[in-house]
Amino acid sequence: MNTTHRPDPDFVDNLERELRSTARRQGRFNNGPSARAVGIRKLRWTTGLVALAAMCVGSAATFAVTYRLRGQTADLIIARSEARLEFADARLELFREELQETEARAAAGVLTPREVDSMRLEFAQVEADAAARALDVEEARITGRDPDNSLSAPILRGRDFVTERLELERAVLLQRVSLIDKQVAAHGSDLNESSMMAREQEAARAALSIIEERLALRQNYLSGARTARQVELAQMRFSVEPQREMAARRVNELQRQLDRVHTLVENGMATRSEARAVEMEFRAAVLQRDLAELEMQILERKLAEPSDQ
Amino acid sequence: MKDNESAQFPDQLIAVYRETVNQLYEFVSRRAGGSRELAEDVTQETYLRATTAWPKSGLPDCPLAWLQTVARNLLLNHYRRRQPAPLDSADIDTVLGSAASDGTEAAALVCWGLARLNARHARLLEAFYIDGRPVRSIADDFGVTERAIEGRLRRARLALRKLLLPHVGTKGEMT
Repeated sequence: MNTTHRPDPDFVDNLERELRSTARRQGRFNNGPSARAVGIRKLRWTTGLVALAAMCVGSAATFAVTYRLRGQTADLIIARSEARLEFADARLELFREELQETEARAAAGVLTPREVDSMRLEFAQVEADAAARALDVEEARITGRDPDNSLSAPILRGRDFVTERLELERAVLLQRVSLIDKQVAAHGSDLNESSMMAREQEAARAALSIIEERLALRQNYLSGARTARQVELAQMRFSVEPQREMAARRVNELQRQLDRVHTLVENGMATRSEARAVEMEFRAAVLQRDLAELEMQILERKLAEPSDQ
Repeated sequence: MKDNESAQFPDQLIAVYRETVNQLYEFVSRRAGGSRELAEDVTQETYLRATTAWPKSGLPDCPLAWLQTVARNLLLNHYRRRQPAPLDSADIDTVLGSAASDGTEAAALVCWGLARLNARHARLLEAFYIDGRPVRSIADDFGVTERAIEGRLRRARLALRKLLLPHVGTKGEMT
């Protein structure tokens, strides 16, 4: 912030004192309205009540029921999120004990360092879950609604719950990626092991990049660089893209199988019904890929078009 | 507001105050033309209005946005009531260009003009000149192209210039 536009600390302190005393002095939230206001209100009610009685009874009843239900719903949502937090905390305690035991057994030489690392990673995941549930409770207490994890969710009393939850996920994934990297380096010579780990490594990095992309989109939205519509569409595109890639890989794989089975049929080593089964599978995969392509195209077009003009 | 919420209200208000005071003050100060007195008065009045309004309506989802809207209206009322100090030595482009800089009379003059423009033009110019936001970011907010924003800015600038011309020096040519 530019210093010219920074408030004087004395002004800030004095205003805080004034606000605190005003808010307390008013006490109007517990007290009823003033006598004059009551008088005016009585008069209005007396004159208007006769004509509006029938309508009011119906409307008031509807309003009261709606209001009560809304209040009850908020209480239920808060209670539910608090219960989830309790479960998560209890789970965390169990995992904490399990981790301590695993570390003790590793120190005694019964377990390998790799097993300890895996347990630490699981513990970190459970710990992050518990922290995320605590955030849910805080958010539910503010809004009375279920947590809003959409990228265009508003900042609530200065808290960005969406980013906070994403950061928790990111921290666990970073730990996961670093652990897998360590394991890949340790098992470089074992071909089977390393190819399995390479797949795990790829999956973990992909998950991390999704979270980082979501964080970037969220920051774009908060800074005003993108509208709510744009970030939600971009997020949809981001989740459709891996599906499209997977569908395209599946089509290529089945194409190779189909070529092979045709060769086998020509040589009399496979039946036509076997070839038809592969053909059916291939067509289904092509359809899947085309649908994903179409979905991407729609999203791209939606992202390109202006939302209001 | 329920009884237990009422009891918590002063604490909630102070928590919101601490979170928002710097941002709100900056928002107001940028529009107060370098007048610390005006910035402090408007900031104070805004929070006092919150102490009256929030117990009835409940805390808004985004308190800062609520406070900024109230502060903006207070500033508009202030500028509508008064005549601007003329700027003899400046031309219009300088006035507009320096509106976002710190504590200038130019900012006060621009704010005075914005208070008299239609809301759509005023919001656009405010975002561009007072908050110093790039065209692209404004375009994203409005959900239109940068080109569309440039066109609107040009028209809004012309409208503002018409208003400001009588209050600036002899070089105030329209471009």
